[in-house]
Amino acid sequence: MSATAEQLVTLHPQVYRGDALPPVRALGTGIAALDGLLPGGGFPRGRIAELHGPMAGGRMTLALHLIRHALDRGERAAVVDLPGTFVPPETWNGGMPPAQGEPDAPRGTAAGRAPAGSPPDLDAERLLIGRPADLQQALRAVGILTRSRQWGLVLLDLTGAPRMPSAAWLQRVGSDIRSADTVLLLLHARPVSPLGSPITLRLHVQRRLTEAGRALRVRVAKNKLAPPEGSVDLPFASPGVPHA
Amino acid sequence: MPENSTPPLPFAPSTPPATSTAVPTGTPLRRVACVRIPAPHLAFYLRARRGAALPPTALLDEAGLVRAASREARQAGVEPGMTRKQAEAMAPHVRFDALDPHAEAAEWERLALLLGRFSPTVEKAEEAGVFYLDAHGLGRLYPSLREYLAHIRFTLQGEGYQPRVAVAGSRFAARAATHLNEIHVVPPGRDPVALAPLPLALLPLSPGLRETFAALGLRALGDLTAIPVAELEARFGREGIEAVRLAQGEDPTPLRPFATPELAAVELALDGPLEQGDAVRFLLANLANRLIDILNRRGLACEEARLVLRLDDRSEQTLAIEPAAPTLSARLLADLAFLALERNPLPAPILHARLEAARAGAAAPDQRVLFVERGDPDRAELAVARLRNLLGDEAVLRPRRVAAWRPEQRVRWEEYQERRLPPRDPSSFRRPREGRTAGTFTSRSAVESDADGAGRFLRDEGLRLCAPPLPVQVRVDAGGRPVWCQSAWAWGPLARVEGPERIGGDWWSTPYERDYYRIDWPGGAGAWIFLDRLANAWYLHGIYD
Repeated sequence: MSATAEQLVTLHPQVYRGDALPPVRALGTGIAALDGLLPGGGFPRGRIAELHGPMAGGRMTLALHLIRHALDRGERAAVVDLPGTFVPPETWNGGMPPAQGEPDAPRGTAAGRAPAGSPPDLDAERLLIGRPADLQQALRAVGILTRSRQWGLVLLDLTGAPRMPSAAWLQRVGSDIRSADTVLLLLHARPVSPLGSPITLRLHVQRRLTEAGRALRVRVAKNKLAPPEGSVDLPFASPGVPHA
Repeated sequence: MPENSTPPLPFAPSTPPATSTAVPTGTPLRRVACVRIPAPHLAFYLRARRGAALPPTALLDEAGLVRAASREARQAGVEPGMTRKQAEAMAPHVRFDALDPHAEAAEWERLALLLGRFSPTVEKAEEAGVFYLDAHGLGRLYPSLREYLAHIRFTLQGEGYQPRVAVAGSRFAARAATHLNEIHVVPPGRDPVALAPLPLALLPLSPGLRETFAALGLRALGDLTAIPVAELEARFGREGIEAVRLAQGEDPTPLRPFATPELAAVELALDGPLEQGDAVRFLLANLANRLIDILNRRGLACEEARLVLRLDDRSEQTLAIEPAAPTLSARLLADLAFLALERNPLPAPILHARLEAARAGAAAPDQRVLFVERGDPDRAELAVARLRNLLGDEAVLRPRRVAAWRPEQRVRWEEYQERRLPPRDPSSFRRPREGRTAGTFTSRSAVESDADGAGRFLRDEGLRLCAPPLPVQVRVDAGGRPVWCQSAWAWGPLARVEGPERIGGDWWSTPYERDYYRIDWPGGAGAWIFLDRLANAWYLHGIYD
């Protein structure tokens, strides 16, 4: 470090030195190994984060953990579902016992009982799903949700969108949520990277198939709050067949 | 009826309810419940001050006479009926305050509305803080009358009162039985026995007869009922007979149901036609402010409002406004009305507007609002209304799990309604991981990095469901298992195949037979496919993402 920089740090200890970051309010994913990689132990609140990766790369899996964690904390969560393919995991994962009074199990069917270790249902009372007709509607819907500052997590699924949100829109939404507790999470196949992007955190997600089973590799591609380093392999808890 | 159909209450009686107190179902016996708030004026006064510790206090009515006095004031010699001067002479240190009869009357009305949850017939007695409820025929709702009374008491305790509740065969008997215990059930037909030890002062007697009874040494209701009726009639006439009947619990007076107060409505005639636009906001704000003011003074909150607009083309438009929870927020009501107007454009300018409360309920106590829910539910509700205006009702949804065998039928999409949910138990929140800062992991396995086992695995797996399922090309081996698959975004030989999971059914309507497989390509992409055994065709039902 040059003498001038040394003097600056000595005179103004609050100047960034790389090891003294301001405290970050964050929404964790509940996965310790991943939260350890993220600033403040999760996705920073009041910021825009992004998950990108190939189609079927595991972005929704990671987003579901974040949704569950927000709902478990009593916060509201919203999914602006542009492709219209979102389903809560419990509707297919772990089978479905028939309700009382319903017909008996269809013949030849395996017992429709949730396997041990299945995660509990999402708290659907606080989960809002918006299904916009096009990208413009999706962006306006996100604007409404973030301006209200009442949602802990707003997920914008841009999978299959013809184009990306503009830099101006990102700046505007970024300033809307800056002082709020909201995490705005974008899902897309390729990174949204306009000039001067206000996206604080960008994770690259990729599914992997190993001898041990299925896993998700998450790599921190951008982090404005800490050095963007690290990746982690997260195995799936129940690699078995989903019960139909 | 199951004994455990209702959750245990924190003040549940230690003794189990006698079998004779079970709610009679289908029996013609009359059962009346009485709710009595002891020292109602003081109770109301204390509640308004959030139960803060009071110095010795006496409450004065409009004539300047002491109407109620706290225990300390009574111990100092202050008695109801004294003038202020007399009371001051007895106890100079006592604090005097004036009763607010209007606020009190509004409060008893509010409680009567609240008690409407427990019986179709509720009477607000003329005596302050006393209510009667028809407790007959509630056997399907409560396992016993004791439990029923416990629920009532619990509810009123939540409102800041400590009521005494009882059930007996008549109004008088129930009212008198509230002096026996905090919760008391008089078994059917046992009214005279239960009331016998109670003081004679509970009877509504003329002063002369009261003095005579006292002179004769009659102290308890049982003393009166022990006298032969013929002798009482011969000496005291009709009044004596009525007194002994009451003492035996015979009170034929029917319940007088409490009528819901007339709901409020406000209107505004405009000088000229008003086009739909921002100016309408001011009109709606004016109406909403006035309406909420009226409801607030009655201790009510708006559950549903109706906006009736008379238009320039002589037509009339009516819009329903339903807040998610009873509200006293004029701003919320005005904003919801404005958003409703945005969704239903008017064919002509407005000439006359009327806003009326279609339904109103008891307003929640102010102190509860702080703990209703995190954040500002009004703002959330407005955001949902705006979202609905933008996307349409059918596109603002909430998933609901449905018991069904076909995977595509296991979720039902319901219209999202912002609801005031009870606060979450903070202990149920998962604790955030501590001591984690900007990470330094590099290509490490999560299993290795987290030896304590917490949060090591991904519990949920994302699936994008294809609706309807999409046809795919699949090659199978000799055993019929897929070995190669081509979909829109991945194709090639499969690295891993799990299944089949066979389902079938609905033979009586639209039969189906499917073999489900979970497949993975070598690159990691995964899918959920099935063989339609009836059509012998393969379909892609979901993509793991």
